[in-house]
Amino acid sequence: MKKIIYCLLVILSVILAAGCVNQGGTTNQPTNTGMTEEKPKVLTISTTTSVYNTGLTEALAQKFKKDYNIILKFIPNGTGGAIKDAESGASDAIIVHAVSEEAKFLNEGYGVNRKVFAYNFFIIVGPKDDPAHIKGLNPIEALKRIYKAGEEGKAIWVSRDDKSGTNVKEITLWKLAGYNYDELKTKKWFRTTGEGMGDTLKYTNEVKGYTLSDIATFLVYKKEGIIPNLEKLVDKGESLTNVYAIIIVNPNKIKGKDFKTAMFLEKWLVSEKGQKFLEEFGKDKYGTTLFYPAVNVLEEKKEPIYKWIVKNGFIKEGDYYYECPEKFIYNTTLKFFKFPVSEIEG
Amino acid sequence: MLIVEYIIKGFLEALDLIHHPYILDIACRSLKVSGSATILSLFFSVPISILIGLYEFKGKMIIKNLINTFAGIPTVIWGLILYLMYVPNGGILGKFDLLYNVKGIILGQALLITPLISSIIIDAIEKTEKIFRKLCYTLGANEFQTIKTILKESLPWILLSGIIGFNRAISELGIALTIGGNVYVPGASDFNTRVLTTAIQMHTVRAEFSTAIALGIILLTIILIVNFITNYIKKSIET
Amino acid sequence: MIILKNICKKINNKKILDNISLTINKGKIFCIMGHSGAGKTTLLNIISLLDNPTAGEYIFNNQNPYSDIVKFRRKITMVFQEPILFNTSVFENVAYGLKVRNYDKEEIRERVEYILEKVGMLEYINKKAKYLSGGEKQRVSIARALVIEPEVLVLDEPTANLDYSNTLIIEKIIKDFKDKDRSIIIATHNLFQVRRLADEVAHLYYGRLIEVGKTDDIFNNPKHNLTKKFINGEMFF
Repeated sequence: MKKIIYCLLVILSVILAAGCVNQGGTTNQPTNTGMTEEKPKVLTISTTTSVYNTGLTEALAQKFKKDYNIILKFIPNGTGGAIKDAESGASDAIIVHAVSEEAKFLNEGYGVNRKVFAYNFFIIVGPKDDPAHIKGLNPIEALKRIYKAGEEGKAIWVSRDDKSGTNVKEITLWKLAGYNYDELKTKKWFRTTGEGMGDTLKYTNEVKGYTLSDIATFLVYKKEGIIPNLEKLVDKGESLTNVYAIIIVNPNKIKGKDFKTAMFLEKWLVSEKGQKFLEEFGKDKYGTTLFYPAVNVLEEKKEPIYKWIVKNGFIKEGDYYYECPEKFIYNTTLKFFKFPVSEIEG
Repeated sequence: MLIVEYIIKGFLEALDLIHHPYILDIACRSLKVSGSATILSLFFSVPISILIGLYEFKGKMIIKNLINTFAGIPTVIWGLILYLMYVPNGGILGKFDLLYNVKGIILGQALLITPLISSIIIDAIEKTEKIFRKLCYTLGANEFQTIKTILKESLPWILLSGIIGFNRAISELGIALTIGGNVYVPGASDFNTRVLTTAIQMHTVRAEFSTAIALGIILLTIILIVNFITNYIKKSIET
Repeated sequence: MIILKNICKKINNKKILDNISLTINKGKIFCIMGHSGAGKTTLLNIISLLDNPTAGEYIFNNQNPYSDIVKFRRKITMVFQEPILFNTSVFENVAYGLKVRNYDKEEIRERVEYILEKVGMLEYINKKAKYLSGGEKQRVSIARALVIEPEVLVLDEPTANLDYSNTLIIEKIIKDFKDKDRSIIIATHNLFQVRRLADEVAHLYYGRLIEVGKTDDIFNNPKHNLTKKFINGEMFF
């Protein structure tokens, strides 16, 4: 019996010691390889979960490790969490998609050099037979039809009701269609899940309802065969535009952050190389681009998309829509877009 | 496709995936992180627990109650507390680069399991002390020899407490996710913080069920082995 | 020689022992008999220096044993009613008292083997203690005390949980240990055992010492009514 206990002791200590030894081993590695390779630079970037869950962050991280020996640590924290991370000095940059929150973040002095690098569209998905007949309509018209069909008992709407970026977008859309979200929630045909996008899609599939989704989660779940009843019904329109931006943490406000490397990432994202990378990402897996490059659209003023991006992803101050208001531009040669309000809204 | 079919398909694919380097890398990290957390925790919980277990003093009951209360704190709350402690701007441990780093997870898990480990050791020491102190005295042992014997008799329990602590650490999600951030950059193992639980959560959300199941099988196997060892030790202690 | 003078023991204000005065001589087997709950175990613990009296005086060989408690404890060894064994082998258990006294290895082995032979447990020497039967455990725990060759051997109900054959084996071991330089103190409620073993008997009744005397005197001519009742088996609780 004593022997057995000793055996177990030995096994346990081997397992545990292996942990320690290996840990020691791996921390030694950089010094060993340091002869041929420089110590890598490390960036911590807090992102929204919707970007993270597509795997874009990992593809970027892999590329930067290989090509530039830069380690990108992407932390999925949601828009609010990402901003909190940046404010508390945990991250070097944030990648988010909620322009009003971003403007607040800039105004509080935590961020500089905001740059829009990609966009895509939220989509309205619903059952194949489309009882509310919304296929191909503009989103506002579609919501009106769903409301009508709902009241007639022919359609169900599923809402996340979790204060996520997608949910915030949904509330805005209902408002544009002329309905109050809180009142809608009392309707029988209006269901709320309080869950993430994946679970909400699963539930929507189950009840053959309609819902607002980000494109990536929908495509992933569709491809895996989890939501056979659902189809993409409305996928374009100004109000569905979803704009992604990167903001660098202000080095004058938060000390000890790697501003230079973070700017390198930002420049790369909006460079031809980076924009190409974004366009290609996901094509092999999902058969379509998940994040459309924004720079070219803005540069060449491609109608009508560039106006949609500006309206949904630029900060309005005075007579201009700014990508990044001039007072928040710091120590860079990078060019930032601005458009007169009259041009966009006129 | 039916959900059941889906699970079976995922399970079969998972069996192929299990020896994939990505999966093994994550499994090894989990073992390392939780193993180191266990050792770290034993490092401070063993001496403290021995002192609390061996000696009677004022406020002993309060300390024991406090330890039991701490053992019940949910990991998400630990995650939040640790986050606030670790953030560079204003966190009391902000200087040490613990956030989004395996060091941070190790310290966090060590703190998480310390009350659990301590309460097991304290109970064990008190129990063996009650049984053996008089016996050692009457066989002629002095105070030092008596304590040595009590500790020797408690050793399997200390071992057991470590294993139970390890089990809790390796299966927790809240700290690993909030403090680790589930970082994974291929080829940059120094900076990666993805462990079994965070990986399972992420792949489930991404609907990559085969990978999630493969990771799940590994986690369950580890827990199974650990439980087997636990029962073995328990059996060997019982007379 | 042990002399107890007016020993009292209170636990939570309850009198467990009340004014006990006793003299226990060398070379004798001294039995403390009494019903369960009479205070026998507490008295033995005090004699063995494992418990402190709340009042009274304890004189051991004309000395105060509390002056150097470890030294005096090494002269007195108690065997508990429940055989508690260390979670080690039979050898390690029996050797314990010698090891803490820093005997050298060879002598320890010699003495342990000798004593295990005497209690008929030599073949179990390398066995794990917890796999032994109740009788075997009791024999090991007695061997563990005997191997020390203490001046005073204290036994608390040594055969309470054993069958008849094991009882006889253990009684024989105790008798063989009797020596002119030693005292053996046994607490028991078994009257037959008292008659078989004891040279002198004390009757303890609810913490009070009712009667002390030579075994034959007590059994043939008890002076106290309660003692008479006890030895006639008329005492029920």
